[in-house]
Amino acid sequence: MNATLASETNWPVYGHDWVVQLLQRAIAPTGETGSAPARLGHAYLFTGPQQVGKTTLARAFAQALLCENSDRAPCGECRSCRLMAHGNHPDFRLIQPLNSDGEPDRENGLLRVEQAAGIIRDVSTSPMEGRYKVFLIQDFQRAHPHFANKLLKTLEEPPAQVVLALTASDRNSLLPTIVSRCQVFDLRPVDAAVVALALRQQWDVDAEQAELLARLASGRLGWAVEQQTLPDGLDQRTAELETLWRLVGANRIERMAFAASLASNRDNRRLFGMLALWTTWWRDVMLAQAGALDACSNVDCKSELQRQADALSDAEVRRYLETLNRIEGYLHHTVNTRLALDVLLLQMPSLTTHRV
Amino acid sequence: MRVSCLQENLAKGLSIVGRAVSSRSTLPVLGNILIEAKNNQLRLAATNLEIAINCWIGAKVEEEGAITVPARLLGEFVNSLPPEPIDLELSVRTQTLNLHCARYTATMKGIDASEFPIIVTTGADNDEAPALEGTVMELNAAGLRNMIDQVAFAASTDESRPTLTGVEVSFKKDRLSMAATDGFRLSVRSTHLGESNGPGEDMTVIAPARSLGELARISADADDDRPVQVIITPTRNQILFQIWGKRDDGRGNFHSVELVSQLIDARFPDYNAIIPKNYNTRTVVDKAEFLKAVRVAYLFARDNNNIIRLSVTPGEGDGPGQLQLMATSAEMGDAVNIIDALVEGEGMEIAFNAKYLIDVLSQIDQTQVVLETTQGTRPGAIRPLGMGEDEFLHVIMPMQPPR
Repeated sequence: MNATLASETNWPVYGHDWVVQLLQRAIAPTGETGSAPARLGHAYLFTGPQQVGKTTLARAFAQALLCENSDRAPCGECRSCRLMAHGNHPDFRLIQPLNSDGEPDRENGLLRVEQAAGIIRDVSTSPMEGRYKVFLIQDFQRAHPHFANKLLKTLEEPPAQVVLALTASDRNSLLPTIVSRCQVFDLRPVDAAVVALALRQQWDVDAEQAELLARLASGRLGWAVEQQTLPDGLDQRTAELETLWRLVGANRIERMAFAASLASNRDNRRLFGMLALWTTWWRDVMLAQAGALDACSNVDCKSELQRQADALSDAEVRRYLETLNRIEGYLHHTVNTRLALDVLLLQMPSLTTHRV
Repeated sequence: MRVSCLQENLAKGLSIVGRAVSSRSTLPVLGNILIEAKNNQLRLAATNLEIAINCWIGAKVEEEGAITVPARLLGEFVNSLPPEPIDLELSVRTQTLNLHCARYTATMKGIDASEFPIIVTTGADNDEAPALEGTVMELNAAGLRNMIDQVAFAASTDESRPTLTGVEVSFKKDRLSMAATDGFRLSVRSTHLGESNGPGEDMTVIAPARSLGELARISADADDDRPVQVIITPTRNQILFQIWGKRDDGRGNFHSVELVSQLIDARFPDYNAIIPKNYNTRTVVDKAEFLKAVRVAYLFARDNNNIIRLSVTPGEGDGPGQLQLMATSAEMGDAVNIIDALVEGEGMEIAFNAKYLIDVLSQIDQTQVVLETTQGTRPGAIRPLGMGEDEFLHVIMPMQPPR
């Protein structure tokens, strides 16, 4: 598909070279062409932060495994690769968490026990077209315990023609019995230069924007791609940064009012997006204080970063980053959102007090 | 593609292949039906990756071609049309199918036919898809349908035990037998195959009960004079049934149907071990009377785990024996039904699930059935009398109602 992708392979994946090479070796035919790969595992688990590329990688792995030209898989040209690219391959199954209406819902849905029964039945029949059947089970951290337990036997020894690929946020969120049955790949954040390259090559983003997105993405190519496809992706970030700057200079009353409006919105996606943005901001401020402004993420706001870095003490910024981290953790559980946000806003470093 | 066919034929074909359309698939193309015009026939195809159905109907092909269109939309649209010729025309550039019938016109957006999974065929009518090679045999359509009906209902519906959701189909010497069990009951049916019709070698496969059910349903419209051709692939992973439609030129007919099913790759449990080898009591009853008595008892039993108690009393002297059926519902009351029976051996009591009795008795055509039992805690066997060369045996595990 693209010769400048992961080095020396033609996988449609940017970054994660080490995983691609290991997987490529696993599917390589031993002996003459067309023989079965001897080193192929039966279950793979890809873990890593959201949008780092777990599913993309797992799909590419499936494509390579199902490709008809095993000597240069995935060739991107054969019928199998074409069907994979269009999401119509009959030997590839995507299993996603479902909400109570049976619709895919990756955030709040669950992998349900009926789905496990379906998988168990499905593995017992042979592939339609190729040599393998690949099951990609997404977001295993959303698996109901019954789903996971029901799948244990299949995961331990599926029929020879079945390969299972799992994705999950991290291995600690899974049952140890699941993890021990899989070959685990802990995906690391993708290098910012690779993200920028990918954005320029594959999504036609101009150099400056690509650089900014790559730095903001903290290694999650999927996030950067999503931002550039959203019409107001970056505008929204600018608006939120401006809000942050306003709050830094604001008094308690304004801050409490902001916390109140935020809590009443009940928009978790936006809330956590904002917290992530704040975290990168304060990290950048710390970097500026340490004299490493060039390594910052928000490259387009260097002057404001420097201004805040000079005006605030580094201990204060560090303490606030810890608070941010802690509150974000609380918000993932059942706490009073309003109270947590009040604390978050009240402890924010203030530029006005410093000037006094 | 430019083709025209009769509305009744198209509707019939769509209703046949429509059963194989997967309603909840993550693959968009599986929600579609493949339409292919070739050799003056229209081929309709659908698959849910377990069953695939190809159906050929007569048509006038002016230009060959193929496309896939949404199954539900097409089915409902065609069903609403008047019984007149339908013209179908494919616009290759936009991948849209234009349908025109009487004063109705519609355009449907499709997906490229090359996205559709490849379905194996016998190659009789088609020279592009891979022709299937393997073990071939021919079976009588009506006989096959009857066998499936008597066996498939006993298969399990618990998907997490795939083996038991299948029917074991085995060819041994000149006999074909089918067996299914869900762990509480077992149905075994066998028949004699003609010398030339068998596969020539012994083989055993497990076919999903659902696929066989579909086959029985489709073959109800088939021409019973022409045999069903069965092909099992050499790798034993697929089974294909070819069914011929009625030859008269009546409307609402198909030319032929091929049903391809994935086979379940597992070992079927050795059911011979649970078939009772002997009996202490042998009860012969009239099937219709027995079924009626069970149905009546079921009215009370359904509130109480479907438990009905059977009590067999041998006749005294020359008089006939009795089979007494009792059902009790703690809240509703109870019922006792008595039917005449020819009893051989000693009297005994046993409890069965009424549903299972109804299931098996409704599938028996003969007028008399035999119930063979040893004791209240051992499985009972039911078989019809007068099957000729065929054999049918149903084994039911007894229930143990609290005393």
